[in-house]
Amino acid sequence: MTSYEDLPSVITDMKIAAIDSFMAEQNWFTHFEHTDEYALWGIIATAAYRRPDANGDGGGEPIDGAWTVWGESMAPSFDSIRGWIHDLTSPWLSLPDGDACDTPCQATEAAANVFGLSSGPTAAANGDIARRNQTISDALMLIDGAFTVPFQNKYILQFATVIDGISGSATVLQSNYAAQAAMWPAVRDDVTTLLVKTRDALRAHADGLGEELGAAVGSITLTVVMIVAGAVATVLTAGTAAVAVGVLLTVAGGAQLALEAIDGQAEIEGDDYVGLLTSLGDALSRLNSRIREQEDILAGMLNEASGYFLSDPGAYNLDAFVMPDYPGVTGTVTIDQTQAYRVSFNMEETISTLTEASGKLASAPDSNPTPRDGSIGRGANGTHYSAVQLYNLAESSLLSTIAEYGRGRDLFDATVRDFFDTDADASATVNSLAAAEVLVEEMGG
Amino acid sequence: MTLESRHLGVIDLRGGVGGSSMDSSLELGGSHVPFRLEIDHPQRFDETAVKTIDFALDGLARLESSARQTIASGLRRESSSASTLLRSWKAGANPDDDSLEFLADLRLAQVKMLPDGGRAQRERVVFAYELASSPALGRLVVRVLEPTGPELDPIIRRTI
Repeated sequence: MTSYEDLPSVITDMKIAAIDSFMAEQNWFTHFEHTDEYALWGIIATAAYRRPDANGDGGGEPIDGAWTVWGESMAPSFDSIRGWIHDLTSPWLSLPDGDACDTPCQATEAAANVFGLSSGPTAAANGDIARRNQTISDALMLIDGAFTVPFQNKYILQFATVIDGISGSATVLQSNYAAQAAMWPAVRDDVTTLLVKTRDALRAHADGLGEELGAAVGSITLTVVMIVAGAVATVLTAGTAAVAVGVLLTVAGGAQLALEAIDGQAEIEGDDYVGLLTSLGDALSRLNSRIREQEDILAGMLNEASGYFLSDPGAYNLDAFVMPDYPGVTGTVTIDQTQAYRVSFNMEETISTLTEASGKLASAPDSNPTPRDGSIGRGANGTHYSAVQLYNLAESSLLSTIAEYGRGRDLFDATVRDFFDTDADASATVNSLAAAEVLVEEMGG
Repeated sequence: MTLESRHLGVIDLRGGVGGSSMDSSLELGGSHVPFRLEIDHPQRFDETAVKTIDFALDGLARLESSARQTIASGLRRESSSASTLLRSWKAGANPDDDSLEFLADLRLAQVKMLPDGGRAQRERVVFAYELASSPALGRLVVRVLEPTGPELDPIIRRTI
């Protein structure tokens, strides 16, 4: 099996085969005894041109004297054929292998798994965050006091929405990186298939082998189309993403449908070397368009998700959501120590879990994990800039959310101390924490 | 417009079933040999075609020695037409002679050139040899194909 690494030698063979075809079409064939020469009909040794060397270079000069049928050296034509093949193929020789996508793919998946299914208490809950959120909600129900209402609103209900949102963004990021990780090995395979077919067709044509030419030409299905759609589908149907909710999952789902709708066929065909090389150019162009379409869909998905963060920050960052007026210990308040402890303890545990998720999510890759020639797909940067923007938003939103949730825990604890009068400054603490809570940290867009 | 070959003089094609031809003679190896030029597509026959034929004829002597080489190689296979003809020849007047004498006795009887057959007709030059001492025993035919080179006809022929 020819592999991507073999392409330089496939291209050398293609150049020789194309030049041989060019000569064969004018009745100059490799001499039946002297394979370093083209002879008239392949048989007249006294009317000969030099063949290119084993690297496909050189050749074209008439040999043995001043005879020239067409009056000039074939070398310029050979150079022009080599140049054509070089221009068609060289952007495809430096494709990434997708391995650099594995780290961010695993990081985002791991973070999404820690988040689990964290939708609010009314939906099926799964994972530590959701269970603890339910426990805290239950405990709050057993505490009497007007302050529980705004507190529940922000630190239970809105908190669940925020976690859904950040988790959804992790899934969107994972979709992008999974797609990219799957895309490039498939592109390498498709390019290899197209170049091998073209080389084989040119070789068969030059050698005058009718059946081999018939076997070499034909239509191929570009594997990259199915493979990328499949990679995104796998992300969206496996694990936590399979039943999670939220608008970002819909965004990712839309991307999956769009990817599945792309059709990917290409043809290698032609009955002379010009036709065959032109069909290779068309096929590579078709492949490039498909990559472009796929990357545009992925970038669109990432940009749309970032758009939600920027236009509705309160749904993605707890710090951006302002809690309704917090009354502290006023009106009728009854706090059961056990329930208070349940709230405080579970919030502390939730902070640990969120910190774990943050650690797993880490940061966006420093550099484009899929660098390639600027003429391919969405350009040299692919979907990197779009992914980094979303990644940064997710990372900083999560850190802000953790900090804000911590302030919420502190506010609750201070309220409880105030009620039990265990701390002389408890009232003042409650007021200053409630004031600080309103502030929203400036976040980069 | 008259087309003129350096070797054959003015080209005068006569039409027949499936193409045109011209009969002439060539000097090859010190003697005159009957030569036939067969053209499958006379309507396309032009100056370039004549130039091509002249270059082919320039190289004919060298090609002919490849054809003789092919017959010599054929003698190494018992079932070949060359071996069969050798046996007939020895059975006749030359029981004590061997391959070398056999080959020396072969003379070129006729040459045919078919320059424009394309992929449909791959024979470009055909050489027919007979034994100078016993021409009645039949002819060995070497067909030189584009692009694979000379092949010995497996059958001893009367004509080519």
